[in-house]
Amino acid sequence: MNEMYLRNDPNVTKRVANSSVAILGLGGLGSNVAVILARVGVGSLTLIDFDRVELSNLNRQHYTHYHLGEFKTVALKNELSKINPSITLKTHNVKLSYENLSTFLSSESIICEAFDSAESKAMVAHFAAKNLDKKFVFGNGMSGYKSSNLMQRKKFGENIYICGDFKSGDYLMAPRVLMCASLQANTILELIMGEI
Amino acid sequence: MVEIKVNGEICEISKSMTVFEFLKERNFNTKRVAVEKDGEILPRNLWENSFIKSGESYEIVEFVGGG
Repeated sequence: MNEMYLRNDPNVTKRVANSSVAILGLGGLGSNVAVILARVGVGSLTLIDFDRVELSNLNRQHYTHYHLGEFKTVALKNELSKINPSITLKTHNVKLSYENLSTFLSSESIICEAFDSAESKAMVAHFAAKNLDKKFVFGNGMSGYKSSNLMQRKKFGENIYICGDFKSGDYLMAPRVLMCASLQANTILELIMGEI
Repeated sequence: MVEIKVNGEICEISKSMTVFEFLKERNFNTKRVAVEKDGEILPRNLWENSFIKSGESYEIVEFVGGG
């Protein structure tokens, strides 16, 4: 047995090794969801973003000063391979749109929506309505420093789970952004384990 | 009178209207919204042709920025 997973539930370790998750957007939610899933040992991750790392990202996203100016796909792939060299990492350096979503997600069955913009989230919901064979985990509302207890997960339609407090706000900071990312990551784990 | 449920609350509409008209009337930003009708997501291209009927149950999520 791989010693890295000594403290994992062995049933989880076995199941996640053969599973695959696509992450749309590698910002505060996506970069942290990816790190968590890499630590659990999810066998294959598809990382999609078009952006580069900026200084203003570092208050909540899994990047360092060393990564400034790099594409997030490249920076995150490097970080994840340092955490867990045995997983497969695919990257697409692209801006997703109504037109190209199906091209990049055709072979994916579990999709993590981690975009910053509300319009992009609505775009993924529209795509989900037409792809009932796929499961989607959204992040929606994680601003400020209000109570952790306001965070929740709602089932929406047949194939969407939405995590967050559903409230908009001006400030995004690590504690609640990572809380939302953790809710998403655990929901993805439950989906992989077939328990929801 | 059309009586429906919206996000768990009973809601009365005086005239027949489409989902798109309902969203506009309630000041939703339609670009940021997803609509579930009776447990299934209604794709946005169907909003303008879907007339709201009595007894239907809707969940409307307005996505917020941040991630």
